[in-house]
Amino acid sequence: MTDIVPMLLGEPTELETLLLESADDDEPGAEALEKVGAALGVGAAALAAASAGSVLAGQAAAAGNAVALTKPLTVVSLAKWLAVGIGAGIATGGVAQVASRAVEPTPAAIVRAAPVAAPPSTAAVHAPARHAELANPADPAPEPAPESAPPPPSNTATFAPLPAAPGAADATPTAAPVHTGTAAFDAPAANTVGATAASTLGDETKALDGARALLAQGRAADGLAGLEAYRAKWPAGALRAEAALLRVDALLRLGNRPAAEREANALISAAPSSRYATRARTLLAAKHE
Amino acid sequence: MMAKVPSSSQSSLARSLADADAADDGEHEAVRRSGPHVKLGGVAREDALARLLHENFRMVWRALRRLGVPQHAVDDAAQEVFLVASRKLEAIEEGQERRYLYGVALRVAANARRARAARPETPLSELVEETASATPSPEALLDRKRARELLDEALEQLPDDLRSAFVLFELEGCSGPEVAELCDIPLGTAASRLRRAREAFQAAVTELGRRLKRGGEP
Repeated sequence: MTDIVPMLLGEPTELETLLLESADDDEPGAEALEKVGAALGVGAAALAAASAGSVLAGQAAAAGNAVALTKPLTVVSLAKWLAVGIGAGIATGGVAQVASRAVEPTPAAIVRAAPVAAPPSTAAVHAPARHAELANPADPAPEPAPESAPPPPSNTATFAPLPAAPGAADATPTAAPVHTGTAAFDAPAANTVGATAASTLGDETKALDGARALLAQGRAADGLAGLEAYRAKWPAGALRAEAALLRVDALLRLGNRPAAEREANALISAAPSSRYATRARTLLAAKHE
Repeated sequence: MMAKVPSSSQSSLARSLADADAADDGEHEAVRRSGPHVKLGGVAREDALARLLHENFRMVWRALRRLGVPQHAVDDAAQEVFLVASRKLEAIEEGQERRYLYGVALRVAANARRARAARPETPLSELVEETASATPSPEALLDRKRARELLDEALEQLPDDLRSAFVLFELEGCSGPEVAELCDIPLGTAASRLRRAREAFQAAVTELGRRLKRGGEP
């Protein structure tokens, strides 16, 4: 059996890429969580208390909206792709868009794109690592799942654990202060998303897009500066989880692994089962190779 | 198959919940089948439910969407999943909450798909016409919505078991073991389903592309 890696790490077609990435935009609204909570007899106070310990729902909802608003490439590409279908005749027009996205870790695809953007050796190691268990499983077995087999912990089974000791020998010092606590990731109140003015969210999106573009251009220090500016301007921004993830990436690119690990660990400890934690782990694992 | 979960004596459930719950009786080992279940008190129960919601709501909601529950119905479907879970809150094994919820979500989504099957879908041709006639917008949230609709149309071509594996692996970023765990299948079966799902998805997208192009031709 050949290795199975996610399609987006392989060679998806343009349309496949567009459709697969479009799923990242689909996120529940904060009001949906509140509504279900109310139906279950869970009051806002209990939800808030839960969010203090686990920011997943609010954070993911906010970050999910961030993803939705920080993926212009997908939109443009889809429009272009459809235009081709309509007869514009620019059959290859979207390819460059997709190619550029492959090296530009968009929020939604950062886990998947990061290894692509990384040196070949990293990508080669990362992809199988995530799905190593599928590399050579036995032929499909008719037996039921072995009940005695302990289930792997969610999202962590296939990712390299965080190194116990930072490999900071070659760390490149940066002037950027590193966030080490979880306070900045305190749950955006479930209402935060709804309360955030679209213009503010748009500005946040632009700021992160700029930083992301700099990272994609190899200008990690400039990107990090942009992320610092974001943090200074929006310390409780709706997209701060995404910003934190970008900071992890930037710090790793700069060789400042200890700082990257602190940043990642803050994100992971704040929401250990969120996909942001998963992305952070993947970034650390990928860049570690 | 798994043993039955002791039936609850609660008889005031809505029929839909009862249906989902009955289907859920075949639930896997995420639910304890023996031993006394510590009944949580009011505040403790509320806190436990709050944690369950916070840690799993997004996963459940997204799974329901990609498993075919339409946007307008997904909030209610998510509510249904958690209402079922709330009834068995004390019986769900610690650490198995996600697995349990996904199992319920699969059934709720299947029910939703069956219900929706009775209603005609928006033909793709209409979708293309709408898209073609729409004024291109930089905001393009509408286009993103279109892309998701196209994605859902492609996913609709997949059998349920393949769709589930595909959604978890390709869209939710689950690892192979996680797919096996959540789908309650052996790892080899998960790999096999994933391969077949990918082939089916690629075929569906290819066909979708052809239709989009044809639909746009003058």
